[in-house]
This record gives sequence, C-alpha cells and structure tokens, in this order.
Amino acid sequence: MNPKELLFSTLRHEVTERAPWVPFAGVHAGKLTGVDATEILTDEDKLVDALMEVNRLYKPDGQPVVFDLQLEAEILGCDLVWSKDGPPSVANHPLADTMNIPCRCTLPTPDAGRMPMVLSAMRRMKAAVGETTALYGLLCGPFTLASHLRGNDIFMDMYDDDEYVKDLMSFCVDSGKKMIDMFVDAGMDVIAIVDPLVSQISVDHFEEFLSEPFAELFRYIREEKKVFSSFFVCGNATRNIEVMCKTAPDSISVDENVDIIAAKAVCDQYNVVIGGNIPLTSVMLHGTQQDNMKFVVDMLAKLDEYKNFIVAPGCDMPYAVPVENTIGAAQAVLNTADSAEMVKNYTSATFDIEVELPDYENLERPLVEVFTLDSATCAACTYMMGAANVVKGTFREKIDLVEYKFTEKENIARCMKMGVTNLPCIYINGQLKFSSIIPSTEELEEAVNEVL
Amino acid sequence: MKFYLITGFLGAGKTTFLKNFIRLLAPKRIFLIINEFGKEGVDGKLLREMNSVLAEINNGSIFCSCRLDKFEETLATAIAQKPDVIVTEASGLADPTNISHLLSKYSEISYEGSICLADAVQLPRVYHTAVVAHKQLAVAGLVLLNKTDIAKPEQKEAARELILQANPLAHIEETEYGRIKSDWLKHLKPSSAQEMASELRDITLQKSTLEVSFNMSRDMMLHCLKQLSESTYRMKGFLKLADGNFYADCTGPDVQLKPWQGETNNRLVLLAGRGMPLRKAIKQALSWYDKYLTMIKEDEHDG
Repeated sequence: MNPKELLFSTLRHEVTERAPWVPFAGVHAGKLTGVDATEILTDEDKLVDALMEVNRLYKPDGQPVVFDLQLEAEILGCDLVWSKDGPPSVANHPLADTMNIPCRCTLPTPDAGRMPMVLSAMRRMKAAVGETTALYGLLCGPFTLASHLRGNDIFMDMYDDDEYVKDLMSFCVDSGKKMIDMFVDAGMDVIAIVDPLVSQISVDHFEEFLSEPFAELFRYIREEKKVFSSFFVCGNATRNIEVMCKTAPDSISVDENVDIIAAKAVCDQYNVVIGGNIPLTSVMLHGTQQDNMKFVVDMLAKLDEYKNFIVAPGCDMPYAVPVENTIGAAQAVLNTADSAEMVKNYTSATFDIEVELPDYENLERPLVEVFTLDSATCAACTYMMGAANVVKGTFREKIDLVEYKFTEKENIARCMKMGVTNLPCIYINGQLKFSSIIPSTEELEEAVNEVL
Repeated sequence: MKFYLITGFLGAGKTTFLKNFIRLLAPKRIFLIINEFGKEGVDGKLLREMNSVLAEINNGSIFCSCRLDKFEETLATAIAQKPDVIVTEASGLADPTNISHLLSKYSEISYEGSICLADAVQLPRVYHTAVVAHKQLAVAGLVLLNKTDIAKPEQKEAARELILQANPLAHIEETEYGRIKSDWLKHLKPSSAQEMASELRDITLQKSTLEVSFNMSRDMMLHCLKQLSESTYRMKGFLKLADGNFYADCTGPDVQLKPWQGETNNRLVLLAGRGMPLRKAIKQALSWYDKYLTMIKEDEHDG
C-alpha cells in the first residue's frame, strides 16, 4: 500500500499495518533549504523546493502545502506583520470599529492576495508527489477568521449581539467554502480547517456559535467535494473534543495539551480519526533525536491497533526544530518495532561494549564514517549513505567508507564515545562534517578533497 | 530581579495601566515585554525617559500555549540585560497558568505575582465567553477593577462577584484610568490562593473526592488534573501512581504534580466555589478516565 493510500485507509477508519505520519512542516520546511519563514510563504519556487525536501527527508504519508492562517485575513483587508521564523501575525482588524458584515464580493478568489502563488505551488506538488503523498490544504477556521476581522471584541459580541456573531460566522463559512473550492481544484486530498481559537471557548458557546458552521463546512467537503476533512485545534481543547466530533469531520488534530489516548476513546465513539500530538517545544524544538523517537514509540505502544490514529506534531512545527528530531520521529512511525528497540538499547544499555576508535591522526587515507539510524529504512539515512556511496565511487581506493547503523548496540556505544548526537551524519577523519542535512555530491567531494 | 505579569482582556486598560505602572516603578530600570499588537502601544519616548527597554513578541501562534519558546527567548534577552524589574504584558488571550513554573527555572528572577486588569463594565461579557478570562483572574494576586468612573454600582457589584467566583482570595482594588498606588502591591503574591481550603467555608463551597487507581500513569493524571482545574480552585492528593508517588497540588489553573516521598492514600480532594461547574467537570473526567477514577462522596455543604 503506498503512503497516501495508507493515510486514506486510516481516514476511512480501517485497520492499517502501521500508523500514518503527517509532519506539519509549515514554515519549518524553509529550515531544510535555508530560507526564512517570510520567503517560504511568499516565494513559490522556494516554497516548492522546501516542500520537496520535506517529502524527501521526512517521508510523510500526508503533508500540508501552506500553513498560514493569515492567508484569508490578508485578502480580506488585515495588515500583516512578517517574521523570519514564524508565520505572519495580523496587525489590525478591519471590523474593529464597525459591526459590519463585509460584502460577499470580497471573498477570496484565485487571483486574490497570495492565492496565485499558493494554488500554483499546490499544483506543482500534486504533479511531483501527489501519487504517493496525500496533500493537505489548510484554511483558517471560521471562528479564528472572524476574530482576525473583528478583533477580540468578538468575545463581547458573543455576549451581547449573538446575531451579529452568527452573521459574521456565516460570512467566514462562505470564505471557507471558496478556499475549499480552490484547494480541491488544485488537487488537495485532505481539507483541514484550522481553528486554534476553539480552545478559548466553552462547550455551550461552541454549540451556540460553532457547531452549525463547522458541520456545514465538513458536510460541504464530504458531500459536495468528496475529499477527506480534518479539524485542527491547538491549546487545551479537551472540553470541546466531543462537540468537535459531533460536527462530523473525518479526523481531528490536537496538541500536547490534550491527553490524546483518552481523547481517542471519545473520538472512537463517533468514529472520528484523531491525530497528534508530539510536543512542539519540549520535545521537537528542545528535545533530542532520542526524545522524539521515544515519544512516538511510547505513544504508539498505548494503542491496541492502528486504527483511527495519525501521528503528527501538535501543530505547525516551530521553524527551528532540528531536522534530526523530525527524522527520528519519522523513523519511529515508519519502523516502530526497530525504533522501540533502539530507544530501549539507548536508555537501558550499560555500554560495557569495548569500542575502539580509529587512530584519526594517523590514517593511511581519508576515512568517511556515516552514522545512520538505518540506511535501509530511514529515508534521510538512505540519502546520506547514497551521497557517500557516490563519492566513494569517484574516489575509489583513495578513501575508506564505513556505515554505522544505530540498530546495533555496538554502534550506539561508538556514537556515545564519539559524541555523535544527531543522525544521520557524516564524519570525515573523525570530524563532524554534515549533520542531518544531506550534502550534494560536490559538497561532499570538496570536503574529501580538503583532507586528501 | 523582580518579575510582574500583567493580564486582562482586551479593552480592560492594560496599556494605560502600564504607563502608570512604569512611572510608579521609576527610577528602577525596567524591561517591558509586550505580547500583543496594541492599538496604541506604550511609546518608546516614555520608556527612554525611564531608562527602560521594550521588547515586542511577534507571535503568529499567539493563541497557542504550547509555543512558549518565543517568550522564553525574549525572557533570556531580558535577563541578560540585568534590569531591576521585568514587566510582561500578556495578550488578552494568553493563558497565564504556567507562568510560575516557567519562571522557577530562572534563579535570577523573583516572581512577584500577577496583576489582572478587569473592566468594571465589560467583565461579565468576556467572563462568560472567553475561558481564559477566568484563568487570568484565578492566578492574579491583585485585581484592579478599572473604569469604575463609568460603571454603575450594580455593574461594579456584578464584576466583583465574578472576580471572587474565579478567585475567592483575590485582592480587589477599584480604580479609574488604570491608576495604581504603590501600597496596593503589598497584596501581590505569586499565587493568591494557597490557603484557600482552610479559609473558605461557606455554604456554596463544593467538595468532592475521587479515588485514583494505582494503574493510572503520571501523564494521564496530569492531563486529568488540567481538565478538572478549569472548574475547581483547589485540588490536593497524595497519590501512588503507576510510575511513582506524587503530590497533586493545584490552585486554580496552576497544576502541579510533584514527586512525593511520604504516605499516599490515592484520594484526590476537589474544591470549587459558587458558579463553578464541578459536577459537570467530574462527570467528564469520569467518562474520560473511567478505568482509573471512582467517585467517593459528594458533599456540597461541607463545614
């Protein structure tokens, strides 16, 4: 079963051989190709290059194309403040001083704002990886969009002018439908409605203001567009999980604030898939590769079977997440049993295994050492090893090449002794030269030439 | 260095208050961290006159309580500059629950507590729609009931009632135009409600006890406490769990589950006040964690 089919199978609520994996690399995609968040969200070529690198290194079953909840707000007249390491923020609210419902003539169209760039990137991704990877089109949920337009006053309006809030929500639902039309037309397989503000309101208010709009959007996606849907929240949405399920999305996605295993039991009652929730800051951004593998392995171990469950980060990944951390998480989803063994060895092994390091000062010829999780199963490791093999083919007997797989206890001991922390990586003559990001043939040849 | 957290919902008058607060703290060197694009910010001129620094956090994920890293980065910058005082103005939608935990990592910082601005006229409206309004009040040591000049007496009374519902031990001062007096600061405490259980005894006190299974994991318990914390002002228990013994010690939304060496009885005591949906919250927790929790007794008139 190809990766996309595996994810579809989960979204059809079937039991699968492993859990699907959807890394939410929004602005973080830029980190893989060395471009900043603003460039990723405004430059089509840079966006597509970065997304291709996400696809290559992280082996996703599904991946978002653009993760920017300000896309519609910008079209509807909000000014944005741009950032180099995060999505832009809305700086003003056009309806802050006027309780107005904008004209439907202002709704997003294919030539509005950044839509031409976004839709073209979607089509290019569809052509490049659409056969094997499910593509996610993300739109700003109606409640968050309403608050972008109206500002925090929306919370007062809910109290003293509920009709206005309902009318504004209805406008935002229409905006959502326009986005859905365009995204599906551009080949998106899953439409995710991302509404972080859902965690800010009570169950009662959800039912009063959000149940109908969301149910309508999910009905539209399911019945009229015939693609899959997802409902993303972030923050502590625990109290709202059940009412979210009642709006009938195919899946929901939550962050670390929600106990995903307990929430799954609730979702199962409604036959809704749940996805999440690798912690963004403590594990992905500040943790080690081992922490990421362990988190995923432990989470998957709590499931009885792989059904109605998707492994994903809690939300849009921070820009600076170390690449090796996501590679570790990917490896743990794609090869769970092996990863469980690696994590176990790493945490429990006493490492009384004697490892002798080469005498790096007195080598006969340059030594290229590739440390991998396992080049047979981890995509990034395969490419890292592949790059080394190409260079070995060029230099032949002038250099030595060796791979150390982390699946062997002895190699874990070797990694510890050498201080290797991030896999995959390449050392030349005992010096770390490339970590996580795969070098081009030229770069690697140059590095070898330096020590020849 | 001292650290003050300023919270309050949109329009409660945080910016005006900040200008007054900065003047009150002068001539101390202040590092001000602002977490929101205000309509009208604290201007640079005032800060320069006060020999102080302003940092704005441009946070696209401002709603997301799991992205504290941006705040921590700015905090590290602030600490490096060694100001006398750090003042942080949180966004109207920011969840202040974890601030004392977060700050406990920095030995240089002395957390003085949280000041919450509440709009005497608007409070009931945001209180009933934005769940975070309740949390901001619950962790505040000092609540400034602002704009009392334009509020009717019954509006002020209604606002007071809500504040005390969220935080029965909050110290409330009435003010206008965000004015603050220095002697009000003595009422600030890092957490306002440690002695709540003993001090609060009236007929509206709700008390319940849950029995916790030994099989429950720490992670699960932590999530469960967070879930219940929105509807309680105090939870306490000495628990033997699957991965060790823990002391659950929660005040309002501030949830702590610390390793514990002493005896355990696996009873979690929950206290809530008037208007708090404790029964509903317990019902939800029992349905989420049915294998691990049992209700022991429910006594709404505990003396």
